[in-house]
Parts: sequence; structure tokens; C-alpha cells
Amino acid sequence: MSQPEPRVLLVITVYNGRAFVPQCIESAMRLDSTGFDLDVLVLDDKSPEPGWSVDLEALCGKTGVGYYCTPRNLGIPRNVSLGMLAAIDGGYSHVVISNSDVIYASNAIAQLLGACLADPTVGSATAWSNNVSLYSIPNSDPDLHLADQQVVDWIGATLAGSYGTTTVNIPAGISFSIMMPVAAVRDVGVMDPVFGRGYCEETDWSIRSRALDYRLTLAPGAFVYHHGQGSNGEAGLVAAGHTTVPANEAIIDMRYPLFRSEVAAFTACGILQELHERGVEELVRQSGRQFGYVIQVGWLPRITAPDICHVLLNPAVDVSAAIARFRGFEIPIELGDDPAAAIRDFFGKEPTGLDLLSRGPFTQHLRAEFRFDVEFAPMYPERV
Amino acid sequence: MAKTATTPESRVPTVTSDDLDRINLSQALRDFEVANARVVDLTARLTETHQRLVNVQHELSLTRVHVGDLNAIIETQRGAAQQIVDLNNELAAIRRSRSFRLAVHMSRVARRVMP
Repeated sequence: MSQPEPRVLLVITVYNGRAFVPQCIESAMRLDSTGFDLDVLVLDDKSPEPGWSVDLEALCGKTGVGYYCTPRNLGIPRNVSLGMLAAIDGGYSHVVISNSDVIYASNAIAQLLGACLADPTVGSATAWSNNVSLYSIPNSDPDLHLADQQVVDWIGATLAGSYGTTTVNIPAGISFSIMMPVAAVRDVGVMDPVFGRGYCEETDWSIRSRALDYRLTLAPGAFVYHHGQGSNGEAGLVAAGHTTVPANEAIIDMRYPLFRSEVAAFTACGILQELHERGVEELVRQSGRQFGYVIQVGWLPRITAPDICHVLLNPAVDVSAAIARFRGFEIPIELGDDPAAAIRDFFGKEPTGLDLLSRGPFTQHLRAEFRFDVEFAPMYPERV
Repeated sequence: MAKTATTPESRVPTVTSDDLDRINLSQALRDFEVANARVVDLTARLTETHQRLVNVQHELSLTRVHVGDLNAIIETQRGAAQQIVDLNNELAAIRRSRSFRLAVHMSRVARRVMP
């Protein structure tokens, strides 16, 4: 007898957010659901902005996703719980809890599902993102470089190619975009309403699930762009200059006195740094391979085209590494004795062009190596 | 960068608004029960803690009185000790004085000449 096809309910919790929710819903409708059923439910937590709930309901109807507006404001934890319970009631196998200030890579849910199915002890799989607490992939300006569906799709495809359905154990899940098997939700229960309007409720849920021997994981092969603090900013939940709610952190500290030391141990073990370095390296390498790369010799980067990779060599002769950049991702390339060979090896192909902003040994070396028909073209860097 | 994905035209879940109303209400009642139980529990703890606080404050007041008594004794003893020091200093001064040393000398001489 064949296994029934997995059924996934994607729950998008909304509180105001006219500026970003439509893009999120559009992104949810583009999600690839090959091999499983995917339904989308927008849970409007009684948004107070006049007219927004009516517009949102119309948008959901037009787009083809489910919409429900609760009669009274619940706060994030209880709104999330409603989504979890809806998944149980609807007979779904997996539920994804998601913020509404996100853009999903088209393969994100498939990747999360793969991560959950690969190991039956997985209790939650958190997607990887530019903004996912301490797990975030470093990027110089995510809102400028990444907030685009096509870019997010490409990052998702690249990371999926690199990591597959690998999962990494983490101290706590982050509910900006987290998948839970419904069986785990049945065992662990829903979010604790003691966390009021929200923050830290998923940490509490995570630790409760781990107590029942479920694994808390990050799925680096599933990418979701996260603007961050969209709904929470709208709700005034987080004070200016803060990224969390201290009163809720105090509850976690009281209930789980060892939690902070577990986070410190996780950070110190080095897996996070390895994930970051490998992820960024793969993104930069693949951008150069797929879209081409330009080598620049100059003191400051000059991004001539955002869709290709730029490799900056400092004209100083004692510099040991070039910096490769693509859409805010940066990685050093060790140059060794033969800079041209090192760069060629990194990308596995020839550069698309040379951009010579300065004369010097590097310039001569690169012109001789790559034989581009370019002239020395001193220009002021963009910043100037 | 575009990737072709197979997506259906509708992704409306099987749970309806009526279902969600039912689930929402049912969970709200459970949340209320939990919250109410927590309030009852916390009120009991608060009452107990308050009683403990009153007891501790009483003990603190008694301790303060006791400490006051002890301080008074210490001050008295400190005064007596100072007196002893002063007397010792006076005695040393007498011993160093010319008349005392003369008296000591005279008594030695007297002890020698008188059988």
C-alpha cells in the first residue's frame, strides 16, 4: 500500500502590513508543490488599519488562498495556535507557520517538507534566511539586494543544490517560517498564551518539543527572505532599538535556566560559522558561474551590474585575498602566488570582463593572463 | 533566475471559516480555563508570598532593634577600652617621670643601707 501524499497547510499570520502582505501571498501562490498538496491560509489577527481586512479578504479570494479574520485580536501566540489547530482539524500532515513579511523561494516548502520527511524525529524545521535570529546568512543590505522574488528563487535553488534536505540541530526554532509535522503538534501542544502578544513563544514550544525527543532543526536548503519585524513593528510590539521582548525572555530564563548556555554552546561549536561561510561561498561561486563575473582592480568596489559577480582586487601588492561580491554576499578568495589562477579556480570559468580602475602589478598580471581587449580606464568609484 | 514551478490555481484549505470559528472559540475557552487556573494558582502564591513578606518584615524589625542594642553595648565597651588605653598612657608617663625614677632610686638605696 502506497503512502498517502503529504498535505501541507501554510499558515500566514497577518496584522496590518498592507505594504508587504500582498507580495507574500503572491509568493505563496508561486510555491512549487510537486509531490504534495499545499493549501494556504491567511489568519488576519483583526488588523486595526481601516479597510485593510476587507481588502485582504478580497485579495485572498482573488488569489485563491484561504482567509479568516478572528473576531477579536488574539496576539501572535494564539493566532499561531489557531493555525496549528486548523492543520490538525483539517487532517494535514504538516503545518508551516509563517510571518507575512517574507518572500518564499519557490522550492522553500518542498525543501522544508523534504527535511521533515528525511528524519521522523524532526519536530520542527526552520527555514534559512537573511533574518532568522542568530542563524541569519550575512548580507550587507538584504532589503536592497534580496527583496525580489526572482533573486529569492535563485538563492533557494542554489542553497537546495548545495544542502539538499540536510538539517542542522539548533537550540530553538524561529517561527518566521517553520514547518512542524502535525503529529509533533499533537504531542507537544500549541503555543503558550502566557507570551501575550508574542516573542519567545516558539522558543518555549521548541524546548517543550525537545523534551519529547523531537529534533529542532534548521534546513539550510530552504530559503525564505524575511524583511523582519513587519507585523511586530506594526503592532508596536518591539520597542525601538530592541529585537525582542525582555518580559518574555524573562519567562524563558525562569522556565529554562540552561537555555542561554545551550545557545552559547551552539554558537561556540562553530557549525554556524561553517554554515554561513559555506552558504555565502556557494552563492557567490554560483553567481559567477551562472551570470559571469568581472574582476576589478581598485581601492573601492564599483558595482556596474547587480546581476553579476564582482571580484575586487586591492592594488596593494601585499594583499593576499580578493573580495568577491554578489548582491550583498561577500567572500574572500585567497590569491596565493597566482591571483588569476586562484580566481579562475574559484569560479571554474573565465571572467566576463576586467574593470581596471588602477595601474599596478595586478593590472599587468591580469591583462596578460586573461587577454581581454581592455584599456586602463581610471574612474571614480561609485561612492565618490 | 526564474524557475518554473507547478502551482495550482487555488490553494484554499479544506478548513472553512465556520470550522475556524469553532476551533477559535473552543481554543479561546481552553485558553480562558488555563489563564483562569493560572490566576487562581498565582493568587494563592501571591497571598502566601505576601504573608511571608509580612513575617520577614516583622523579623527584620526585631533584628534592627537587636542590632541597635548590640551597637549600644559595643559603644560602651569601646568607651571602656579607650579609658584603659588612657590609663595605660598615664601610667607610662608616670613611669617615665623624673620624680618616679628618683623615688625608685631612693627606695633601692634605702633597701641597701637599712638592714
